[in-house]
Amino acid sequence: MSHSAISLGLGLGGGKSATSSGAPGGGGGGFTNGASVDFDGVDDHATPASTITLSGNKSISFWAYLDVASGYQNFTSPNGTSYGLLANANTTVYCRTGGGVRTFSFGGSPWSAGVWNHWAVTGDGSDLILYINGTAVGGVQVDGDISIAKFCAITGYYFVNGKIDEFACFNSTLSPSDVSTITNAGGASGSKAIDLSGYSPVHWWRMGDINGSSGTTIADQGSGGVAMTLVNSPAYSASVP
Amino acid sequence: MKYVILDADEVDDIVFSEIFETSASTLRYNLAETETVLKYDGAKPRFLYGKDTYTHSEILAILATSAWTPPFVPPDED
Repeated sequence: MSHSAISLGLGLGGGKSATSSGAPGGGGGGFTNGASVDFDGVDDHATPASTITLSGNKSISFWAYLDVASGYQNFTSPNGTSYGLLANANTTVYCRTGGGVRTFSFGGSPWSAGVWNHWAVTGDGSDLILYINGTAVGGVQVDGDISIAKFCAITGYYFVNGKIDEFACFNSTLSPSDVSTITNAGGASGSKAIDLSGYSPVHWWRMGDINGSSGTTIADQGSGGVAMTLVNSPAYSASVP
Repeated sequence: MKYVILDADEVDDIVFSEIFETSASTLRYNLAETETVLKYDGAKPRFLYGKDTYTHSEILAILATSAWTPPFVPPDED
């Protein structure tokens, strides 16, 4: 048995593949999305090769297909031991910044389990905004630096139970229109994700589309060149947003 | 996938080539750090003989208990 994440033979070489475009400036055409990474909620997680810090103008964008809408699921951690971007069921999201933890509370349920949902966080040095499925939720909070040293868990608990795809970080503040485009321009289920290259991501992990859904290293398709390492063998999946 | 809970003092016996965890340093422990959780597929590794086996849903229920996950403390707003 290999330590490597399970290969389904997907990605550029074959398997289910969605195509879409829509990012400003194009870059589409060659964009395909045929894979995501499935974290088991038990001990699967991932780490960047070096800690990422987003300051000033910043954004994070990703797709998540969570298997449950209960409990705590941590998408990013600034140091591995503290939660960073943490979902408390589908009623509250906490975002830890250099200035403290910001709380986004909402009365409705802007995301559901068992379907792909788009998440985005944007900051401009003053205002921190959380978008779920293209809509700002939980009000405007005070911005601060956001660091990422671990994905999909903190040490010991708050493991993500579900799939993650197209995780990207930007040194720019995505506008509400940008977030709406990233969320909605791709179209139907299976082709929702669009080419993000036009938004000049500093980090962009395609979650199986570049490495043929094989191995434990997810290369960074942004300008930052920080690879992601999958830990404890999360599986690649053909399910995509 | 199948899951097993192992005593922490048995970690040195783990054959990582037969399970899906990456290394001893990436294991998940309970809050008391007396137990860890492993996963495997196919035939049960010999070093896990005698250990109870759980399904994914069963192990998630165990990991959600207070022995493995502490109560959440809301942050102080800054």
